[in-house]
Amino acid sequence: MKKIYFNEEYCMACRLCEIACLVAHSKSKKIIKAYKEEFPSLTPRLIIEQKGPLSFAIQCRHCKDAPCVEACVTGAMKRGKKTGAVSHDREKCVGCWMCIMSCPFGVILMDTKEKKVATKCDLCEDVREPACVDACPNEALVYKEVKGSEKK
Amino acid sequence: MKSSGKIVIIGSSVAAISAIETIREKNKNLPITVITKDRDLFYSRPLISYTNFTDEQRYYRDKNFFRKNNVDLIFGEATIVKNNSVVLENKKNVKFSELLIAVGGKPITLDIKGIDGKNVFTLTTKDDADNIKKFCKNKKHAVVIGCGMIGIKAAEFLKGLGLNVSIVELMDKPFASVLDEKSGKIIADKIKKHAKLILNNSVSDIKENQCILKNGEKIPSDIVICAIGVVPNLDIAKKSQIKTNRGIVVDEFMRTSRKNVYAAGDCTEALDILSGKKIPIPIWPVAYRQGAVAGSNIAGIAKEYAGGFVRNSVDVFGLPLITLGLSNDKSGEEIVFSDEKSKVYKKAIVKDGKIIGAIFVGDIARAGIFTGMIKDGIDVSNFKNEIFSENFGYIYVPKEFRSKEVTPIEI
Amino acid sequence: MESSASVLCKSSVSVQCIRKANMKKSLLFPDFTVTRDPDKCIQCEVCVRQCAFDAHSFDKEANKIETDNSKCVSCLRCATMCPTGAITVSEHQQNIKKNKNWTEKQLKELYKQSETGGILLTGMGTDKDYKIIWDHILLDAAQVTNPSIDPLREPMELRTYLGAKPDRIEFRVQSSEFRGQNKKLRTTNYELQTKLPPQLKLETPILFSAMSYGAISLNTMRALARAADECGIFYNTGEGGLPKELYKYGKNTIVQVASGRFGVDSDYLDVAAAVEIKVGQGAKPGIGGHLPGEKVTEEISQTRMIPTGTDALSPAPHHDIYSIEDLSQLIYSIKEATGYKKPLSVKVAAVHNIAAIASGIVRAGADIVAIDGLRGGTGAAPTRIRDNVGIPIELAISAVDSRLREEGIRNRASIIAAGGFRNSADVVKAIALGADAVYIGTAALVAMGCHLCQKCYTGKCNWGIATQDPYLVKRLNPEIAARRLVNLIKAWSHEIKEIMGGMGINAVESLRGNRLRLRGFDLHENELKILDIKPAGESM
Repeated sequence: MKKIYFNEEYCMACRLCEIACLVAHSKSKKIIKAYKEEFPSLTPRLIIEQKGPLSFAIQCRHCKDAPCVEACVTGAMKRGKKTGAVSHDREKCVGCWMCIMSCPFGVILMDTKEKKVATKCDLCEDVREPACVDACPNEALVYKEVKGSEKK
Repeated sequence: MKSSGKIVIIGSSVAAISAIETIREKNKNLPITVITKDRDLFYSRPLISYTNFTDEQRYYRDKNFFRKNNVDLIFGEATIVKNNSVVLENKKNVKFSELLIAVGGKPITLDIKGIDGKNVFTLTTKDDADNIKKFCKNKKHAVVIGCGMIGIKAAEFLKGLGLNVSIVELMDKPFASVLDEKSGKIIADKIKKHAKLILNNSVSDIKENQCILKNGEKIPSDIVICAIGVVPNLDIAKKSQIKTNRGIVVDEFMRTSRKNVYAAGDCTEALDILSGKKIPIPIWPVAYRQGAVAGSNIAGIAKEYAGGFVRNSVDVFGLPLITLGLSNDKSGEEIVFSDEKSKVYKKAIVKDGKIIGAIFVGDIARAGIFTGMIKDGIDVSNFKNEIFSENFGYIYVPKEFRSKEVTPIEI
Repeated sequence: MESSASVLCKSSVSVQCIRKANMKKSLLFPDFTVTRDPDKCIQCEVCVRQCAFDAHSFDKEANKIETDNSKCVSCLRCATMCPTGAITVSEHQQNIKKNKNWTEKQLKELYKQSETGGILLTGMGTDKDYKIIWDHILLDAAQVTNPSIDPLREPMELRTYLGAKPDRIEFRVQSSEFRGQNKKLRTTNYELQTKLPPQLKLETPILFSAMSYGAISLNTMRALARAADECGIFYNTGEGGLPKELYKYGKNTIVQVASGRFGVDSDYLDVAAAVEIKVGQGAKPGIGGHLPGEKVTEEISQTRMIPTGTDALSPAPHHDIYSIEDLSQLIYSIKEATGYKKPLSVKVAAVHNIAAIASGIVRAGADIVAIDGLRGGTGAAPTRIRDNVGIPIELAISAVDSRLREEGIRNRASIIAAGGFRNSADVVKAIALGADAVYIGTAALVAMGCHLCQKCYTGKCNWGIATQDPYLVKRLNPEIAARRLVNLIKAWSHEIKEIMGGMGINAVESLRGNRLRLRGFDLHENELKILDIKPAGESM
């Protein structure tokens, strides 16, 4: 399956990916409106990490033997049979944070704005290219099929 | 090892479900039969204490899971394995070519006066929860014995039903085996805002309307929930001459001592990577993984269980708590972050350069990175003082240890 | 492309300088005004993170982004990256009393110098309002009496060979007869007897100018090298040496030997396609270079072959070249060292006596003469030198080409013209004036993202080009930059073919020195004379 990968050599921590992620998951999908009207309720689904000049954006890896799917007691965290992506069902989630405990990449986040639930990258579902990848001005995020990525 | 005959699974919780999913991923046609005691098949056990949930919300997999996966169901209790058959309570024989025992754990019972009274319950199945709900109508006071995972969930459950709750704990703090003093105190303080917490004490006599404690104190109680914990359910294994210790003994392929019989989940004892010993690790993710490993092997694709370690995440009346591994170990170096004002406490125990345990109270963000570091045995010596800094993240994990999921070779 | 010695003020306009100079109040005011549309700004702080000059900052308490206009250099990085287009940078409007002599620019420079006591430094080519002769030269097109050519239908040849061409060539003609089925057959073989001097083969008459590692980042060099490789052209290492990693692009690399001799060893000379002795550079003729020790990082020290942290001083002259004879010695030393297998280029700035100098260079044995004009770029140069020394490349090309023809030695060397080539029309005009090919530097940098803020010498290039800052160099992804460069070269090549087609010329060979197809418009008689072109309106 196609996944998002980062190339830390070219990530400059501009955070445009984070902004794009917020907007893509907002109600209006319009950047200014989303920020001005919905902002406190928006949670990005990726994390930008920085250590000195090194930086990258990391989001759900959609692992093959996904520890979050194993740990989820509600069945909210599921692997799609067709897509291979790990999806999360907000309605089922009870916010027990077993997934947060299990994700070795630390990319499952808490969304406590409305209801206490986990939230994570959904690969922007039906879009050709996820918003973060599309927004990266330096191609530090790529969306592609990579052989051998499934092995751990 | 390819199975030709009929696969039988005893149990229908997470280990069984993950085994079924794994088998079906690899083989659509192998006949599978599940023998289960549960009348309502689809609920997730950890969710039984959520009072504001509909049954629908409690489903772990969708309602048609067994039908969709072409699984036959037999409702009843399996009592013994004889030759290549499982004998049910009603003496019926169910033949198998491979058997998976996934019977889970059973609640620990205490030898207390009045423990067999009508007002005493355990809370591990949906039936338990339904019975408690019925019993609690017009009741006022409840006592929960044990302040661990189930104790807290039981207390929240009873609070949700509108009762006043007292929790009696034998040890000096909640979650005594996994918390240290400081985190224990934060959690205790939180519990006290919602329930009466009685530490260093135990119930010695359960009466209809009150409990008498070891120190003679009397507390009102219309209902008592015994929530000490669970032990592996060894009933069928023992009767069937399957080797058991504290749990059913299994090898890395989840095979028991009996040919063609596998076991997975809370009923087993499996490799703990931190101690190197085989112990029961009765937690959901381990059950899931073991079920998947057993399922794969049953379907004829060899897969090893790499071991696990104790970890848990629980929400204590709104305060998140995660403990990982040997979180109460005193022999390692302790790295602590604590902010009393925001009730945040984090601690990691480092031994020989590696994290062997951790506690997160209040702020559990990205705790999974620690789970990963414990699992992969990553040497943190170079950055151990930064693990609780604001910027800490996966970026600290040395590149050579990073998962291929993150940096595939081609990039 | 390095900064000059004895400079106190290295930062942009501003406060930091003045503090250094222990002056409380600066008389300078900002060059630019940054306007932020409050309806559009979403306080995402992208601008804050992108500005290496710290012009933007986030005030947590006020929950507002503030901008210090005095720090803005108008590189437009923030305006480009702003996801909502909320930022506009404009010239700072301060009504200094209008004065044609004492302009705002002059005043600001005086304030700056009176506050710092330093030489004024700058980057890129001169921005002074000199007449641009290219814009006064017009091209011809074919009408009626000669047909124009459609480059989409007919083959067009842009391939260019740089290097000395022999005075004459000799063939051996061999005829042989043999009996076919019914009749006698005859074949003729031609064999070139003359040994051709080494040539650089270019798919299009454009090369990337010398830009050294140190002045530009490694990623920028990677991009230039990849693009040169893909386009079948050449890039030039400048005087900063060649990082080992780029050796694989050797066949597309021209290496420089400059007065500092940085990074020169036999591997360096061997791996390159050609060697260029750099005598001068258009932006700063007669001036050496000074890369301060703090910029000599581990990687740069390895590439330049000097100790880490030591100043890299390029002397103003080559201390072993005080005459044409000396130059000849160096040329032949290098030719000897490289087995006479590669063309040898000598790069000089276009100065007043350029024609005679070029003649001397050719007679000294160079295969290529590279001439860098008044508008040539730099990573750092004293402003006064950059803006006032040298002559325009247009005049230099003509002067040199004419002189070499007159002396009958034009075939002995190719001419590469450099210094401010902005588009394909400039290239066509330069070739028609007599150049063989052109070096482009600034245009290539702009293609990669440069916005000509002229702050290369600060080392804080926000576009990740002229910097070694580990936070900034990542901003230039060489893959993207190479793609942009390749597009640029492709686009120019298409345009050159289009223009040549219009002129009825199907090979760049036939364009070279074809001054008959140029006309001057609004040029003085003397300029026309030196350019050796007719005024517009005058017939063939």
